[in-house]
Amino acid sequence: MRALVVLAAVFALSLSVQAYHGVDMALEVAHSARAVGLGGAMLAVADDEWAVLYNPAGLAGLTRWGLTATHAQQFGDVSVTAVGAGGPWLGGMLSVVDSGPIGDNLRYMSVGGALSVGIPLWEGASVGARARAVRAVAPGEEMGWSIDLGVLWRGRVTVGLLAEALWSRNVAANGGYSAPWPRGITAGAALELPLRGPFAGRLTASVEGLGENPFTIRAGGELWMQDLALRAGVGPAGVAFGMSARLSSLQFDWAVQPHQVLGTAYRGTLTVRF
Amino acid sequence: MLHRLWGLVLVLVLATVGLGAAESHTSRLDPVLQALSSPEFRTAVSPKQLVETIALAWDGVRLPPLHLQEEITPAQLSVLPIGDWEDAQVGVLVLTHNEYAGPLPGFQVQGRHGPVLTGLADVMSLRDLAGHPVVAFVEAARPVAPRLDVSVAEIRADQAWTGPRETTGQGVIVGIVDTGIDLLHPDFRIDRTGDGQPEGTRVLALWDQGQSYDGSAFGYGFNYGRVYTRSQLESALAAANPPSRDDTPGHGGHGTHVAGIAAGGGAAGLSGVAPDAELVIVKTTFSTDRVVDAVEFVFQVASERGLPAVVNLSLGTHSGPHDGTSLFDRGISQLLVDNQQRNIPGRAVVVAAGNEGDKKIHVGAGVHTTTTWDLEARASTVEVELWHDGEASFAVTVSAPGGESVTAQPGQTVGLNTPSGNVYLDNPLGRDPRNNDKEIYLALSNAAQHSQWAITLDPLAQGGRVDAWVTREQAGRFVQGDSTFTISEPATAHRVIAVGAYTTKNTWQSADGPHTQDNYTVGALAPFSSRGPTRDGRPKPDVTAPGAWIAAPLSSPVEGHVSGWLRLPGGDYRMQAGTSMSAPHVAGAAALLLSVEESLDWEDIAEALRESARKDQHTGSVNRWGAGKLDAAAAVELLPDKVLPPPEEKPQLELLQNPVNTEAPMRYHLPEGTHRGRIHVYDLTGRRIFTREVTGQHGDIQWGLHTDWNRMVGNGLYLVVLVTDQGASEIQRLVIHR
Repeated sequence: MRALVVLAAVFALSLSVQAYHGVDMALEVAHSARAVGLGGAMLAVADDEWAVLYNPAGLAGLTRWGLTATHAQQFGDVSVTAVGAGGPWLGGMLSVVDSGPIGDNLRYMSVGGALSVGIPLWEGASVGARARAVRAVAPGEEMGWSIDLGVLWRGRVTVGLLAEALWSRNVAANGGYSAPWPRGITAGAALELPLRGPFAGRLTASVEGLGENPFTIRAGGELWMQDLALRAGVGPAGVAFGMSARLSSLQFDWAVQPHQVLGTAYRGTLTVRF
Repeated sequence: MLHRLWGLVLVLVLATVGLGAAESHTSRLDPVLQALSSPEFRTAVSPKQLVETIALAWDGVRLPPLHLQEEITPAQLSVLPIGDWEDAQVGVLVLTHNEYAGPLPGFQVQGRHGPVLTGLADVMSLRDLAGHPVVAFVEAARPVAPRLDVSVAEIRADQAWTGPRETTGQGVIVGIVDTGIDLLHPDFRIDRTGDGQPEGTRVLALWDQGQSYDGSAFGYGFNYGRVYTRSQLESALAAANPPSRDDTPGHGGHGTHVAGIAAGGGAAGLSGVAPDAELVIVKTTFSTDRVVDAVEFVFQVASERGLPAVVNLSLGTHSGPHDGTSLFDRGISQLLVDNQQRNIPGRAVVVAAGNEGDKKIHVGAGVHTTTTWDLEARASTVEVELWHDGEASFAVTVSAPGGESVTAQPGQTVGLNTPSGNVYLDNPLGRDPRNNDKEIYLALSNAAQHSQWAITLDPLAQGGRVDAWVTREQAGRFVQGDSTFTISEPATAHRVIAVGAYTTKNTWQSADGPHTQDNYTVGALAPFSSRGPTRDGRPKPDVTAPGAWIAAPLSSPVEGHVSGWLRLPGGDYRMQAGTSMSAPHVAGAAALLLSVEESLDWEDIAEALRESARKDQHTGSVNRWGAGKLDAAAAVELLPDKVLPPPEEKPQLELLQNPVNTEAPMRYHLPEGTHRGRIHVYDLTGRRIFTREVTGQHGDIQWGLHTDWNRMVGNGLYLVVLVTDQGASEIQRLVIHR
């Protein structure tokens, strides 16, 4: 708990008033289909390879290595592709956001990368660190990075905390543009449901808002029946639904986001574990 | 002898240069600029020597002999004001990844046309320019050449003047980009006082690109040449001292003739197609970059006055991929759309299809086995461009008349010196970023007249279709040449109206008496009229108009150089033939349409011209005739059905700028009966970050690039939507790029 207080204090002191919204979008949209189906409330779940992005402390609890890839047809016909690997203590992800042609001569493209470590502290508790970098490729080039910290206590109710952009280098381009990363703390909790037999499930929620990010609540739940799962969630973009299927070492996740104004976004994730 | 020596050096150096051409960013330079960017090349070859070999638009070398694609003699070369490489600049067109407004290394911008920039590049900085992150490709500006009574009635323009719509082109600007105009010709004068003595000019503005810069073009965004307003021209005319004459050596009078066909007033006897249109004249220096600037100039003058405009381009080149992707083609097409790629109402460009239908400048085939084409040199310098699909690759061998040969494998640039001439051959490994295809470039220098060269293609791994063009029709021809794919650039551009030519007259009463010229069949396609399709398979031309032989105004400064059989009695008119003459018939017809309905865009005009085109026993294949023979009166009659837009039920949102860096201006239009809506901005996760309520049927708003929680919005991609109770507009994708 002391660590949390220190973290919060350091964080509050370092807040900037000039942070820009959206500078980390190349990673913000690079979530797995499972995470999207849960409304994005994965901070306190963080039990798969994508913990690299949700909460690096979650990597400490992984027992197997996995390779994973996701592709999304996001709102506005934007394509998002991410690949990564994660396992005990360590993981990394790369993502590409591509608008395709906008008119005849304009295109937006950016890439993001994250490298995370998670270290177990004592029974159920772990900490993690994450380095993120984003690089815009077109129409102009720019780049920046940040270091983030996360913690996780696993129990019947799992609690997680993520402090973003504790240290960072502004996303900057040659033309003089320089945009600080938004600093913020996100807290989350996940409750394992007391189900029996072939059933398992959890409810999860997270709250964001201490810092420079807007106040945001995400919540979701999933129900597994052996190797099949259904899930639903709600986040700042509205509701989302998803499903999963496992076959031996393969897992496929799928999610759909029916947005009230922007249409529907689809996302699929394929993971193989060793 | 010296000629031969440096020719040898040139070839050897070019070949050496080619070995290093794959490094750094040279793949973003076209083959000529790749050579120029090499220090080894510049050490061995002087600017003057290069100019003698390859026709380029060169600072200080924008001289008539080169621009008009004539052979330059050693005597002419010796007096050219060409400096050292350190000072040398070359005219270029630059494709950027967006509408970049910042500086580029070693580049002096002269025109901005969406993502295509025109200007001068320092030869010493070409690699730095190509290496800049916003630069997608740099294309050398190349010379373009001009394309050389009964016809007005033939296209029924006179019936459009007196028909139900009574349109004579009033309130429309006809832009002529050519050799200039004879301002003193009666057909371009105005007699305001009715005393029989014209004191005014029908020319609204004139830009002489070749005159020394005096700042008058600055207001239009250009830093060269001199712009004359109508009042300045009229002051000069009052002193009988026109400031700019249509007397370009070799081609003087071409612009006057073209302007007269499109919009001559007929004071001396023969009216043009749109006799009451306003004229904007650009006396161009005939290089691709400056032609693009010229078209923009005409549209700017039109915008200033709130008038629609059609620009006539009776010029072209066969250097380029012939598929609409050259920066020359793109630069012109870009001027017809806004930054959302929507057609701009009241703008059209009409282009001559070309006069190479019978010149054998093209050969092409699917090359899946070893194939040889024979090239006959008709000038000392011959450039050939061979284009093929990017998936294919070939070994290319050039064999000299004496049997010597040289082979370039993919990725190689090679040279060969022979008694019959020197060979420079570039066979790139990588694809051309403009169209993802590959260009094999061959240049012969010091070639013996009528020497015959063999070009052999050996397909490697995978063959494919190859199309080859001699870039200047005077320079050479293929023995196996055909008439297809001979539409020249920029008639191959995606948004222009390309015009072929047919014969309406072959006998006339000349100053020397009755004359019969050529045995062209009246009513039939002129043999010289270039044929489609374009290399990417689009049928061309769009329509065909009278092009042989046409009577139109004669420029008095060149009258003494025109043969008697070409002059008509009275001295005010002359005969000329070419698609140069057919294009202004269509430009004039477009002016008649715009005079009736100024909101027509280029597609509306092209469709009206195609749908109304006449078909008879002569017309046929779409790649020879387009839709048929121009019928101006029928096109005008079609208009009522064209100008009623369907009712709009959905709200509409237009981004007025994209990408943006400080503010995002938008224009909204609400459906009938709706007076309230909301514009939302979302980030890519679908989170709404900004909302603005809008009222009224339509209007403009500015988004200051901040969120509703007062946070600045970073560079990136965002989604903008206008929502009303009747639905939502299409999602617009907005890029913030500071």
